[in-house]
Amino acid sequence: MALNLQRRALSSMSSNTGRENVGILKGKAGTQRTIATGSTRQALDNVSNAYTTSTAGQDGKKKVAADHGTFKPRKGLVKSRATSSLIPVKEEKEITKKTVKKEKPASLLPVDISCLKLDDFTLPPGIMDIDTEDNDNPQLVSTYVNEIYMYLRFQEQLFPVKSKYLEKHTNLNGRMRGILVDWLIQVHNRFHLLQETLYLTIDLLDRFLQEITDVTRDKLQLVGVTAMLIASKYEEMYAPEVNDFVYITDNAYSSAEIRKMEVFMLKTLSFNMGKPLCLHFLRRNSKAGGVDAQMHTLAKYLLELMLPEYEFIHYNPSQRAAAALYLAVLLINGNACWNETLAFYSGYTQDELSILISKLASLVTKSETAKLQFVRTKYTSSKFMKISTIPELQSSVLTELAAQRL
Amino acid sequence: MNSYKKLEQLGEGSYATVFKGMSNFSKKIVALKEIRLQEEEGTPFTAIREASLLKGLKHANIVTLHDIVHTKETLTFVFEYVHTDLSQYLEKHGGGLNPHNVMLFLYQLLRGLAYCHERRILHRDLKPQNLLISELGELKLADFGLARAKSVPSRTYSHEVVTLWYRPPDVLLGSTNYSTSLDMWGVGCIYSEMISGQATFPGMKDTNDQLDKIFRILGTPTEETWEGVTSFPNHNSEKFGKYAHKRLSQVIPKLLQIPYAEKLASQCLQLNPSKRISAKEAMSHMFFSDLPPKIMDLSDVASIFVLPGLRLAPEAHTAHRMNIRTVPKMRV
Repeated sequence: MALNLQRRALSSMSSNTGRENVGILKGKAGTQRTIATGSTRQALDNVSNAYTTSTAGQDGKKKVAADHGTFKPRKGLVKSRATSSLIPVKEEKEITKKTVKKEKPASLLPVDISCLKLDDFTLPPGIMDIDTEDNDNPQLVSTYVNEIYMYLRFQEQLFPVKSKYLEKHTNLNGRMRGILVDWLIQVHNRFHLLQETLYLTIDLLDRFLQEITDVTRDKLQLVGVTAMLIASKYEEMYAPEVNDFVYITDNAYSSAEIRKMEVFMLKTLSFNMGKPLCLHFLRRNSKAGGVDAQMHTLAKYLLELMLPEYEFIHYNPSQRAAAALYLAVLLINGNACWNETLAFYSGYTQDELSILISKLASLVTKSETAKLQFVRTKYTSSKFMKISTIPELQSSVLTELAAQRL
Repeated sequence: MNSYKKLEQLGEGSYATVFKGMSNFSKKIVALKEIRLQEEEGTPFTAIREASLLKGLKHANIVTLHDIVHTKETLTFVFEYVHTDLSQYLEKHGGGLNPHNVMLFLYQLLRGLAYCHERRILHRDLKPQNLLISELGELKLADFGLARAKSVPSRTYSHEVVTLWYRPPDVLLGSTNYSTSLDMWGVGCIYSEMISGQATFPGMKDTNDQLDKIFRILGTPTEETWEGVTSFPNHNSEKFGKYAHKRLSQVIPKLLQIPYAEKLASQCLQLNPSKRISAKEAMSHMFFSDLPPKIMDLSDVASIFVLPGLRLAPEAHTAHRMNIRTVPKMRV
């Protein structure tokens, strides 16, 4: 059901680009509302019960389907869950093990913040200084830039998102998270918010859900919009108002509920909003690689494609940023040229990235037929250089890389 | 709020009231910053940014946030209590501070700021009121309500942030591409004010008046002295008086009495942000050559006063009655 609605929301959005008015917003929100309210909520709850008591077997699922009119999409939801999330689980275990091992260099940093000494940074021999031309541009803070990135790589480890954290939930699963995130990307787009706000929103969402495990289905969207409200207050010059979020959920929640959730979320996350984002790292990597606008945009697209995907949640922002740029350059240049300079500034060698890169390649090969389509649609616009439509994304390199996963 | 007892009010800001308080467990004196939750919009964005940023900053020259207490109507930040601030200190000891103390305060200000800048945090609201001074003479940066974590390189930020007296000319001219140099102008203003006892650029009216105060001393910039200056949004050559550049010591003669003092002041107070010295560089300036070399090796959380022999000198002038000192807040 939710999936079907999501598609409808999507098609209405894409056909109306350029005519951004309140009416469309309302229409979209109206269709969307059903994630959280009304009879649909019940339907979704039932599906989730069926899933969580999945050992109870098919009967539950079938019964749910029969109880409500829209049989087809719901079946789709159940079916794709079985195929797309159950099978990869086995691989996932191995992959995470390996990756954790390889993330070691970064974790050698002290965990106590007061032990982190950032002074006296010196560039190792053989590494190109990519900041020499910026000494006259205070905007690029060349005096501090290496210390800053050292600090960011340290800081991202303080607030990790654990793989498969939703296993602790009885009401939610990765698919629902995906649907919510896809919708949040649409809202973000509609509100014309900064890129940083989107990445922070999803980070707050994940970190909150990993702590609070009794979130019910009908409150998931409330958690999502509240995360975006907080992220906006942190990042934006002019944050949307609470009522904008009431509106976008078509009054599924009152402004008082959102304010209450805001306080709860701030408390739960102990006001720690300052986690570094993929984008911060991507900008540095792109500079180190001297890449052009097309490669940078493609990397941004790849980063955003990962957002709704549950199997990517635990990868550190710096690691995602490195893998995204690696794949972007590889696809456009035919060669990633991941030299020592790039490895140094990104923090990862080619080997350390290989698993994530093939996972990402596999995600791209499936993107055209995937259920969640908003990111791909978003990146068909000329604002994003129509990057999701470039022929390089059909390249056989991708399928070969994706095959390496197995 | 049962853990803290509220004592007298210390001050009132735009989104918060500060009280002296006492911890019911440790009996320690604390400062309670009580933030009003807004009726419609909930938690103020300033509170979210301040708490989030301060949680990541553990440094002897940055005020410590001990605790956050959330109740139904209010949000209270529990800070360490520091007995005065630089504004009050300047008022109490009029006519300029003891040069030794200027050196100690300035070094601590730079130390705290370099720590922030290395973590991509801009304070954006440096002024004497926001620099707390303990009885020992420790200086602590406070009030991060307008601070921002900034990515590198970054988009533009609102230019409506700094109290005008301490606002740099590039921001006054409408630049939104500011960076760490924004805070360094404020450092230069505060530093020269500590020496002279008077605000260096006390604009009274608006942005143009503030620029006029600056140009009267440092000279009106031209394309020759500052490339690109005429392209700023608020640049208006007809409105600006044509002033020649003066040495800072012509306005603040005391700068000549302290070795390297004028040099450092002019390196901070550069009209062109790209020529301003950074906090990190300023810390190794010859101006500080009398400080013990070990001061560079202190851990972040160690106060400079752990070094033997380092202490505040007595001030020459001490007023017995505190005057109310006001800085006009003109946010244009």
